[in-house]
Amino acid sequence: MSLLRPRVVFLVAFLVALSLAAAKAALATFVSANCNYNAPTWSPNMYRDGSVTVALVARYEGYHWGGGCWNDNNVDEGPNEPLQTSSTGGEGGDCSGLTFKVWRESLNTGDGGHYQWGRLRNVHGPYTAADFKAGAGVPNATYPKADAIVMDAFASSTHIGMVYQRSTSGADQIVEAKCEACGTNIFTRTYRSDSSYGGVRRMGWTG
Amino acid sequence: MDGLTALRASTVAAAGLLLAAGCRDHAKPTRHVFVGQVRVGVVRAVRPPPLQACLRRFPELHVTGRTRVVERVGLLGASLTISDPGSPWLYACDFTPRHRRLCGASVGVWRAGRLNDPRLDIACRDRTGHPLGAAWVVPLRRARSIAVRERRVTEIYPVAGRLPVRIWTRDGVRYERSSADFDVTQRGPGGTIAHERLHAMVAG
Repeated sequence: MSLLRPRVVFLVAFLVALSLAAAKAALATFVSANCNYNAPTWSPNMYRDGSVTVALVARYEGYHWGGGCWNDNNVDEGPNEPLQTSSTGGEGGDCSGLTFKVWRESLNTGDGGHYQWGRLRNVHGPYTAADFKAGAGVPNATYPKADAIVMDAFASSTHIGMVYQRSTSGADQIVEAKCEACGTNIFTRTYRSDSSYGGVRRMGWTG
Repeated sequence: MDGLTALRASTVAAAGLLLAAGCRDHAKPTRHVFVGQVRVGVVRAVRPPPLQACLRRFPELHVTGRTRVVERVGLLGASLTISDPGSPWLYACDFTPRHRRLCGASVGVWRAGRLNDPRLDIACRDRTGHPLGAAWVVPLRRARSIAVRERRVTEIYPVAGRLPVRIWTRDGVRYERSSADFDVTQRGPGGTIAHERLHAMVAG
């Protein structure tokens, strides 16, 4: 009996520890399990083609309200999140978070430099779509929509998307983090002719 | 503010009575209590500079006779909250308290007494360059004021205009994470109704 007792105690303790570990794993979100807060890398140059590449990495990686962290496996690992809820820690950026990262902006709104953020760096940046629309922050400026080219953006007070391919038909190919159900992808949009949208340009492109 | 019909105003004060009330709710007493000014009105033809700046920021905002404005002037910042009952959009313009320079703005969806998100804005800074966070909190039905506790001061925001209350924090801003935490207490006629830590993120 006295030999059996320590074994029972050990078994119970082991089961408790196992269930706690399982509970912790179940509570982990995509952000808490995968993302980091590393510093960005400053770069002297920034090319529109390079930013297209950054945007395409985010494609198919989902949408997360207030988010800015994704991997590169073309799977949304935080699907079906409650609408406009940031606390669920899902994968993907939202519209302004995606734009901030693709445009390689600084957290310092007075800094127009180019900062490369890792895809798993969880950063949204200080701007909302309304801020971008107003050209808030040193790197950003309002711009005539008719002149918008690849990697310029169209922004309303509630949404922003970047030009992936300009079209002469009046509908552009826009890369954007649109919504929880639609994720981050390239969509055909008529923002250029929509009066609620204004043109925005990230200043300081090398080419 | 000529363009606003002042319906209600409170005074700016560091009142000992309120200080005592603040001490009762928290283990650590705060040193000061600051009561912000608030005015509620409709947009009129004559528009003061802050309102003009706000309307320029939101050209899609169609001002009608029913467009309501709540103007707040507080310790950390000033704000305008603008609502048109015919539209689900709620607009905020945030200003530096002294010079009333527009430093931030937000748009939210306000429908049937529910707000989609606190709509945090961290674009404003204080005189020392420290970032400030501004966000909306929805007052509970019986709430008369919202108290936001900072390390050295508790700021009181009177509820007004049946609209979300734009509150500010300096201590709660986590700029690197584009978020802010607000220590919020909702107060009613009989005292504290609810206390929460509001976590808000820049989003959308």
